[in-house]
Amino acid sequence: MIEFLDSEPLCASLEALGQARRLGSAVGMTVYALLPMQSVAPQARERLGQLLGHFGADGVVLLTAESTVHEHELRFAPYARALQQACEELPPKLFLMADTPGARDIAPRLSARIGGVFLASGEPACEHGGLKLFDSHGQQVMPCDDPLADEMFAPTMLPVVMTLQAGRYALSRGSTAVPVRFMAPLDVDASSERTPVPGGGLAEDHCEPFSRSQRLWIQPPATIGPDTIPPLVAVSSERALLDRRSVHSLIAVGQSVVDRSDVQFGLPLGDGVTKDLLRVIEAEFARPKEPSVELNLSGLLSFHGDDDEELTPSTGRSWDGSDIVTGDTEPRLPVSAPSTAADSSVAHPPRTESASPSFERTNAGSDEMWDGDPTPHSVQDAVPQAELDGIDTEPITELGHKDSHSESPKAAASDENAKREEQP
Amino acid sequence: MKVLMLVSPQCQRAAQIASSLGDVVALAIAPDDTVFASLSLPASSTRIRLWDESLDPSSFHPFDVEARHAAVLAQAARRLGTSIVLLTESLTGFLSAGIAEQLNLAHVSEVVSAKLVSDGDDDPQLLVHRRGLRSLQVLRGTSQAVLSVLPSLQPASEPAQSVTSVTEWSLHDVSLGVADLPSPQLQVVAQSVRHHRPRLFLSPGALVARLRSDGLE
Repeated sequence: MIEFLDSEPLCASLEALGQARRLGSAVGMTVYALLPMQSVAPQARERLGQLLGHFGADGVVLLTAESTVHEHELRFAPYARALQQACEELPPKLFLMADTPGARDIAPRLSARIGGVFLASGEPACEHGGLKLFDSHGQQVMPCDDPLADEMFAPTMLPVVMTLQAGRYALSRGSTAVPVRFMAPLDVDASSERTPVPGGGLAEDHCEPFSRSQRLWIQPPATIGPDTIPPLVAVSSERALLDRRSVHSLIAVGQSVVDRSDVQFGLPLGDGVTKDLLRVIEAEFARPKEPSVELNLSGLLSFHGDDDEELTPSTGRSWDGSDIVTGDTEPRLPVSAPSTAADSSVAHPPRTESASPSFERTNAGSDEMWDGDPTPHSVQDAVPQAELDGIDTEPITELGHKDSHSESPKAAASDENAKREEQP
Repeated sequence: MKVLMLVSPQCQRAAQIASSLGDVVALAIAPDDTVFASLSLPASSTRIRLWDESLDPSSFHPFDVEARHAAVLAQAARRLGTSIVLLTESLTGFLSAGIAEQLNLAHVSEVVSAKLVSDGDDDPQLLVHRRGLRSLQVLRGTSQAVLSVLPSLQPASEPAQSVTSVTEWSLHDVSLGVADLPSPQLQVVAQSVRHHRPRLFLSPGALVARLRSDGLE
């Protein structure tokens, strides 16, 4: 399920879509991108097939809200019946959402509704040709067989609903526009206990301001009272009682952030400059937002099929080689590789020089783990474009040690590709 | 109006909201009464501790534990006749949704505050403040819901001297047997734990650009 804000998909949602794409290609699953229709501007809807096809979807499903009143924040109730209808028509093996406030409302309730398993901040991966699931503690788990499945067929795994942490997965790259369909909720038997409750009588009355300083804590407030609202994103601090329940993303700052597995984002600055971080961050937010990435979609294939046409698993679709891989052990493009900007269908806006003071980069970690502006200026032109969009973070089994699966990602990818070529 | 509240760590915010909504029934699923020690509730509140070995968190995966607890709490709400259930957001994140589904009630996550408002002769309505991606969403409706409240950021207060008048319940008191509890749906297949390094940013500017793309404008 893709979450939109101002008609633009959240980056974290596109990362979840990217991981769904890799899993779908590796184990043969079709990827549907579900969109709450009210959060997408009507003029943008016709581009959705191209946009989300580019980022990994095989099909796009627009969910119709039950209320005609637009709610400003995403939650389960308005889309309950459309979601249930989607899950009945397209029974999911995996239902993925980026970990956002909306996801924390939708994902567990949907899981309860469809009788599935819910894993908050989980991790779906493909290893050795099979789907592997990890919970928030990093333990590998396996759902039991669905007791309601038809015994005439092979046992069916219970559907798994997962939220994925922001920043963990790479975006996907495709080349085909995909069909878009609408999902309107069916009328259901109101006497059934399983009847979705359209809000249960609760509906949005209004919205109140939630300032950026409340949503992002660079430093915890001087005083924390009983009514203090936890931030959505915070710089990790020993003082604050913040855990995964309160905060969606934690940021670590300092020289030793590379091996921290308890945060999602790392800013490895020298200790001397972290004191000035609040001013620097505020200065960056004060700068005008760079124009959103404009996709050059003119070269993509358009889709002219019937919206109701059955989609097929996409193992045979044409994707960048780096996308036909297995989850988080994705091969990373070397930083020193020649520029592939000419081949990319994504045209990034020109980068402007930052007004913030330049920080001395620590030598911790490999270049592949960096995001944003990842290389020294002298070799910036050689940066692969994909790196600017994000690269999978590196799994580690123990702090400081790479996961065995990530030691030779290219070899793993070639093995997967070889296996796939053998498939009919 | 009776309000059922689940006692858990960092539940001071939920306790405060529950106290403002009505008569609090504080229920803990725990083997002993110590969970009530640091909880500040009105003297008139009812304290219930429910326990059975089949509810032991160490026996199953946390998701399965919460599925079992949801079945028990839903049944307790039915017995007590409460239409508002409050609990603090859990790490696994399933408990409140599981209760709401079984009671067929609305479920609101990321709750910051809630109160009852009355418009004349009508029944009081529930006004809930919910943390959203960009704003505090205010929801209004009938006073029947399961509210998943954000944890309190204040450290727990010093334990009281003693905890008195805690009613002990068993599964039998909520008309359940062990066989009625949901079967485990997840099994841990490998004990090795896998973690991830963070995504790194070279400059604050790059980090801000990323946060903006996730809606933090």
